[in-house]
Amino acid sequence: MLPEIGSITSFAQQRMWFMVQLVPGNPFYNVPVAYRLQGPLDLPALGQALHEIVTRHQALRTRFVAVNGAARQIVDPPSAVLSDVEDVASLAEARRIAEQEALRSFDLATGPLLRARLLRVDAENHVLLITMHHIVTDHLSLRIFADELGTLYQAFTAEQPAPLQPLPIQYVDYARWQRSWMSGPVLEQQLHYWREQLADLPHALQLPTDRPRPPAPSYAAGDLSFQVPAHVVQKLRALGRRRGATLFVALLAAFDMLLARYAATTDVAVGVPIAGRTGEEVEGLIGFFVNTLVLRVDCSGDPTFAEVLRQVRETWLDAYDHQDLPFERLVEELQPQRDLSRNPFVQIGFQVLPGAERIPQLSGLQTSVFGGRDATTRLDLEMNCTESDDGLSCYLVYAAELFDAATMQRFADHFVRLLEQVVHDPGLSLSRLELLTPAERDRQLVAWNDTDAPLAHRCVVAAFEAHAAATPHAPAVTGGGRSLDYGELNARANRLAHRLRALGAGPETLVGLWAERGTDAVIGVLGIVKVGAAYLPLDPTYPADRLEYILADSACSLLVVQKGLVPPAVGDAQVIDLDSDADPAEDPGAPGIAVHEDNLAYVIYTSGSTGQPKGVAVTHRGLANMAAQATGFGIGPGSRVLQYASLCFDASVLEMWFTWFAGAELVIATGLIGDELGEELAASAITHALLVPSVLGTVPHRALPHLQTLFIGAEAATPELVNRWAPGRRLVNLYGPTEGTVNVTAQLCPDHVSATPPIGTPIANTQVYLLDAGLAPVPVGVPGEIYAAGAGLTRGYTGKPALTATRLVANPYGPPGSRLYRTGDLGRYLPDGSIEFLGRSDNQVKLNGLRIELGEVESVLAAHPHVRQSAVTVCEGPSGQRRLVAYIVPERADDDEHAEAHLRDCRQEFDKRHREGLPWPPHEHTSALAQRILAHQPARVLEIGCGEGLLLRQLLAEDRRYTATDFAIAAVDRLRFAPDLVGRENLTVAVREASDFTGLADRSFDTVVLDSVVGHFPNTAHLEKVLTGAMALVDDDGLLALGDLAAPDTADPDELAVALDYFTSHLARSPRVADVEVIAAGSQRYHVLLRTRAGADTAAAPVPEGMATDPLRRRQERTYVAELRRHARERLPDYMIPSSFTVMDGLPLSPSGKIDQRALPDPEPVMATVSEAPRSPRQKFLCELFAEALGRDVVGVDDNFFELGGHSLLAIRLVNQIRAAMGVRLSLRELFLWPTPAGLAEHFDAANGGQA
Amino acid sequence: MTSNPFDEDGTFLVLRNSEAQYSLWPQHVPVPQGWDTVHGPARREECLEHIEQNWMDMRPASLVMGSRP
Repeated sequence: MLPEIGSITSFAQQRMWFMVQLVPGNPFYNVPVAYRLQGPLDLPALGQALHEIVTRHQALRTRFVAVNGAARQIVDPPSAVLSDVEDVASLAEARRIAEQEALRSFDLATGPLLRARLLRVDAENHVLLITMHHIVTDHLSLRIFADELGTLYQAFTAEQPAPLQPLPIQYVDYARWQRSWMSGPVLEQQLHYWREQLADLPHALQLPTDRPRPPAPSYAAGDLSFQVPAHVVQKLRALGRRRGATLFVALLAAFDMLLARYAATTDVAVGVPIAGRTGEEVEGLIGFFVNTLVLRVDCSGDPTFAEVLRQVRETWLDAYDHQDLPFERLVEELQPQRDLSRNPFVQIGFQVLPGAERIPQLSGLQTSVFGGRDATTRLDLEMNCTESDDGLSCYLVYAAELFDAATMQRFADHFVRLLEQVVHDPGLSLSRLELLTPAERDRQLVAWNDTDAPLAHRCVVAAFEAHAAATPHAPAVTGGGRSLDYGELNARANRLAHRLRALGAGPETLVGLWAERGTDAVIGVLGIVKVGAAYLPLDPTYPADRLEYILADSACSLLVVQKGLVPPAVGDAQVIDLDSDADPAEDPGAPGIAVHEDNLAYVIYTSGSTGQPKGVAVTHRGLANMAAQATGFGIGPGSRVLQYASLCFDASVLEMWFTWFAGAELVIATGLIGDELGEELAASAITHALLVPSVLGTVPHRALPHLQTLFIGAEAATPELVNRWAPGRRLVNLYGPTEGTVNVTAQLCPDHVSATPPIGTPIANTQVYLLDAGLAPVPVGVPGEIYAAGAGLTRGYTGKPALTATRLVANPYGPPGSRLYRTGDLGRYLPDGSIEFLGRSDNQVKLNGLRIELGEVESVLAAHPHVRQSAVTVCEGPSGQRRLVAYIVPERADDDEHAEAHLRDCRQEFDKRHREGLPWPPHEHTSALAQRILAHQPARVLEIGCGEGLLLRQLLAEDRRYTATDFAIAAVDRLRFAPDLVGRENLTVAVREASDFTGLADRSFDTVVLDSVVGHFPNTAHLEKVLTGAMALVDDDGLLALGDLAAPDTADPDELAVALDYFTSHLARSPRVADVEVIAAGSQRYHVLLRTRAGADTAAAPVPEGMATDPLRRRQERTYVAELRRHARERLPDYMIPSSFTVMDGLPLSPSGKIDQRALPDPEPVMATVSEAPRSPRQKFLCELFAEALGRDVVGVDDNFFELGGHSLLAIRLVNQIRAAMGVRLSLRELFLWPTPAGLAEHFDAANGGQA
Repeated sequence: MTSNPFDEDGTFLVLRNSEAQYSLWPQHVPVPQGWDTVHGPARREECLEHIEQNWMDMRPASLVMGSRP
């Protein structure tokens, strides 16, 4: 035994030592103080005083070494603290040195952990720098240090002995005591308390930050001082006193409420430092005693200040009674989620200090604090309050990487404002507290929403017709090889309008439009709108289910269909052909129907969370207001606007009506992505285009001098994208839900940005509010839900009054009786009033700019009779692509049915092989098995699964009765008619499935053999059934031989493989088994021979969980997933179909009973394909490109791109990649025709003579 | 996820404006000007049921009446 090195550390020291080991050499735990000393300094007395302090307090000459991975503390003998005086030129230089000194790290292993430096500016001006490591000191220690320094200096200048009483104990004694005391029942009792207190504590209190949280923070701190007026403090103290609460408790209650509002949470935990010196003997000791108590309050149910105060008071008293458990011990015990970017449990600190910082009183000198204070903080924010004569001095220390000074200033202002309100009325509830000052409120609600502007047209049709009349020969639309001018387009649209009118269409009727993007579709839209009706765009790729649902839901009774297309279902709707070249006889004049601005212009269906899409009914008022933006973006006659979006998305509304409002030309896009799109923008001299960032990102950058304006929207744009496309043109970021008529805000992006651009400010005649859960405006920088009001507000959801009334609600901030749309999006104000988009408050996601309610996908999946529960989420692949993934809990499936199907499939496969004489996998170890069986001298043999007779031919002999069965008829036939076996009377061959023992008498065989059979069984239940039956057939002291078994580790998961252990340890214990012999049969394969003994019980021991593969389950999952995919495909548009389905036994739940998204496993491509590996370099290359596009590791040659979750946008991307990487011509259509790597490779081979 | 006063379990009102448009409304928030309480306080489901039963025509009343040009 080696002698013990040093002494044990306290819990706090151990934890801090550990934290230092994580990031060695860091200055985070430095505790620096600096004093300016003015006057004649007695240098020897100062040195002596410092030396005496270090001599008295062992902690200050302690260092820490690692012994077996834990720290031990070693106390060194006292040595000189102050070596010499350093001359500096100025106080400024002294300040610089002080700053450097504060950040100079310590080495815990070598020490010393206290450094003192004396800087001399001149004879009467000195600066004393004292820096300690937190592991040997704390806040109270600094007071002791300052007091003792003053006392000792005074004595030593007077040449008197040190006047201080010797210390009763040292820190090492305390550490030893703490370790022995905080154990057993004391520890258990305190742990119990804190475990309950902190149960289900959220991972972090998330204050909104100005910048993203760095994964490895620097702990750099900023600070801010502010005052709470004396009259407020007095009232608060009095209010607290009446309720038995200290000023500290009252302040903390208010602070908690501020945090609850800022972080939009009801669960607020704050760390409060407590001296940690509970014994008299440690009161005067320097050392690390301070402890952190986690004070948690529940702000749910909109509590009043008085209620929170009562709660904080009780929590504080209880916590105080349990203060001895060191925070560090708690962290070890409860092991909160590991996150190096945050302090565990609490990220916010709060304390009320008894008085100003203690300054050493050095006789004959004027001493003051020199320089700034904390340079680092490990918390996000620390609020330190000190009572002073004129109120409360507050000192806020914050993580400078997270917050701006201006944000912290607002936070401080709001704290004061909140205090002013609660002292006035402690009955105010959380949601009623006003954080904003009247000026802030006015600015956010009114000034930033002051957008009134007159409208040129109340109806967009009027604008279009004005252009048609004024410039009939100006081009209006171009696409598909034809071009129509305003006159022609107007005439054709009018003709359609007349036909529709004859069928009863008019204002407030809805006309469906089943057409592909193109000039015909455009005529359709205009014709429908011109008759005063609203158009309902329907995508020709919609599955029948969806089309049927939409037609029924919208009560649409008239359907305009593009010539050559056939909708899969039309229900009761009347269908008319959109034959643009026909009916010249119709009147080409305007139908002249008066449309009210509150009449509907179109209805667009969007994803709905309840499982069905919902139709957003949009009015002419909103459309006219939206279209009027066109001129502001420089659109006019001669402009060429790209028509890119599907008519089912409202981006197309912007494209069409910007064009016609301004008399410009609409150009139908053909190139959908990448090079082709870039080529088209150039060749068609497009001047204005709206592209979602994920599409724009595929376009190689090129000079596009005509492209004056690019609109982006529907998803966040990266700074790189903005920086690539903004220079040389107007780049506009648009934001808006369909319910707000395309867009409600717009932001012009500068040429260079370093972050995702904001979504901007409200457009004309539009108001946007950022509100909290109490519908009060949130402060600048704090997230709130985005609400929109004004001209763009839509009527609601067609045929869904209740849903409409929950989304379009009374507007507390607009004209009386007006409405407000709650978007469900989260945003926050930047200081200039523009809005930053922050994501969704609910389950809606956007993939490639397309809006998807996860709930809709979940509902569709859950509607399948074999789905018990489903969760759909978005996951990010290794290269950043996001895809939709589903997790499914199946209804208990019928195992027997699947097992039968499994065997049936096996039999068909085997029949085919036998019939066609196809080769069998090599089977080399039969002879070893045959030898062993023959050694038993069998007389009556049953072979189950004889196959082509490999073993049979080795075992068959004159003196042996041999019964061979197989479930494949072709196998039995082949043996029956095999020339070498014909006429063998001792041989019986029969068709029989392995588990079928009907008609076979017990103990009628001395040997039963199953060779290469078990692997084809569906599951272990089937194996047990066969073993039990076989053991009944075998006579006492007989033989049961199982040939060619596989071990599970390396086996093909579609083969039933059983661990050897099952036979030797489990089956061997079955009553009928005498002994078990095992013969190796190659790598990971083996034969088993069981000898039977007398006994009536023939039951085979069950195979324990985890000892075998489960081919049946795999089969079930595979067919199940394929079935689900089919189910989804019939009901959802392709972009809403999950790319993978993971089958689970149950979904992980959070303590609140909701699905715990974070605990969901990585989505597995569970429906593993049975596809083969590539056979040619071209196939291999294509497989790799497929895999990359799909975000998968591997794709087989026969894997279908669309079955593996490929949707149209991904397809376009893949086509582009293939073209670029392989230098081949390939269209999207070709990918649809040949959606597998093998198919495509063959297509290329055929197309260009096999050139790889 | 942030809570929204319209989605929580709680007590609600049903409001109606002069255009005969309906709005669900959380009881604890003051009713905005220009809106009358026509149902509640009641549970959310009950309020929604009331709206489903009573808001038969989603066109604004002034459009239906043709009172405006």
